[in-house]
Amino acid sequence: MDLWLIFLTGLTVGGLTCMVVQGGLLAGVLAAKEEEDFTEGSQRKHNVLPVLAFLIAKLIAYVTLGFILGTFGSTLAISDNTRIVMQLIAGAYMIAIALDLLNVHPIFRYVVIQPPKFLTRMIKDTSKSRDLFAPAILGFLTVFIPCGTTLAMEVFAISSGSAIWGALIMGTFTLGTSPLFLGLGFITTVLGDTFRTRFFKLAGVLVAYLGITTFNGALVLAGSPITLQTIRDMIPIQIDLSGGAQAASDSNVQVLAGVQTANILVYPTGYSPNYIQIRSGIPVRFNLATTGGFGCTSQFRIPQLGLSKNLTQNSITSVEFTPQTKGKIVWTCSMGMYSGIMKVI
Amino acid sequence: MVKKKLKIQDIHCSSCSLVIDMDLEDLEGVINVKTSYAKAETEIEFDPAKLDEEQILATIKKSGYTAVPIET
Repeated sequence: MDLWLIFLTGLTVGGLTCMVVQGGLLAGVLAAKEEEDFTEGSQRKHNVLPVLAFLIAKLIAYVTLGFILGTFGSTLAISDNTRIVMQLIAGAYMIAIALDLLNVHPIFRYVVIQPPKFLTRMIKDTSKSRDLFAPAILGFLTVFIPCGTTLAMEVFAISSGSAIWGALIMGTFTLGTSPLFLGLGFITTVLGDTFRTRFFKLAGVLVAYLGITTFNGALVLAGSPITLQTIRDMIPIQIDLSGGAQAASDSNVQVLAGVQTANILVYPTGYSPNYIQIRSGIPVRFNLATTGGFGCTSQFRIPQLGLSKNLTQNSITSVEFTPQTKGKIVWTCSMGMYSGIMKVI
Repeated sequence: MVKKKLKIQDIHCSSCSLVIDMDLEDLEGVINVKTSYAKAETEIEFDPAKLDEEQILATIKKSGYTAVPIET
C-alpha cells in the first residue's frame, strides 16, 4: 500500500475539497477568539496556536477513527472470502465517489453520506464559541463533516482490514491536509472557483485510481481470470504500466534435492523477480526474503492454491507447494495490489 | 409560516449543503432549513413577516451558490 499516494492526495486535493466547510468553520472560531481578545484589550494576535490545536485534535480524531474502521474491517474480514467481497465493495464505492467528484451524473451524489442534523448543529455552535478549547473541539468534530475524499479514505481504511493500517491511512491523509489549514484564508482568496472545480476533478482522478486498484486487487485475490493484469497481457502491444519494474523477469529457479527453489525479494511495493517459470508436478519452494518496510506484501498469497502466509520482517520465509496444472499462477499480497506470475510448463 | 423548495444549481460538494444551511440559519425569521446534496435542493421554512424570498436567494448567492425556487 502506498502511503505516499495517500499523503499526496491529502496534500493536494484532499485538503482543498475538504476545506470548503472546515476552513470556513475554523475561520469562524478564529474570528470569535480575536473579537474576544480585542475586547480584552490585548494587542497580540495568536492565530497559530488555535489552528495548531485544531489540527492536532483533528489528527487524533482521524487516527482514532482509522483505528476503529480498521478494527471494524478486520472483524468483517473473518474469512478470505468475506475479505475479498469487502474489498470489492470498497473499490466500487470509491469509484462511485470518484464519479461524483468528476460530476459524471447527479445520481452519484447519493453515495455521499450526509451527517444528521444534530451533529451539524453541534459543529456550528462550536464554531461560534469563544471557548479556549473550541478550536480543538471543532477539530474533533470535523470527523463528521462529509467530504468525498475523506469518505474514500475511510472506506479504504475499512478495506485494509487492520486496525494499524486503518490508523496509518487516516493519519497520513490528515497530515497531508494539514499544511493547507496553516495557510488558511490566503489560499481561499487566491484560488478562484474555476481553480477549485479543477481540483475536484483531480481529486476524482486520484480517488478513481485508488478505487480501481482496490477493486482489481480483490479480483486478483479471488483468482479471477479477468484482472487488469490479464487484460494487459491480452493486448498485443505491451504497455508497461509499472515503469520498468515489471521487466524483472528472471528464471533463477534452481533444482535443489528435487525441489524447484526460487529466491524472491519482497519489497513493500512489489516482488523481484515477479515472473518465473517452473515445471508442473515437481515441488516448488519460494524463499521469500523481506527487505524491511511495512506494506501489504507482509502477507504472501497464492489465491489459486489457497495458500497464504505471514512473512516476518527482514528474514526469509519459505513456502512450499506443488503445482499440478499447467498455465499461469499468480502470487500476490494481502490486498492483491502487488503481484507476480509463475508460468507452469 | 411559509415553506419553500429551492433548487441549488451549482452545488458541487457534500459539505456545500452545510454551508448553505449554516448561512440561512443565521437569518432572522428562518424556522427550519435543510439542504440535501443528493437532491441539490434546499427546503426552507420561514416567517414571511420577517423575511422574503429575495433575501433568501441573496443569502445563498452570498454563500457562493445559485438558487432557483421550485414551483409547487
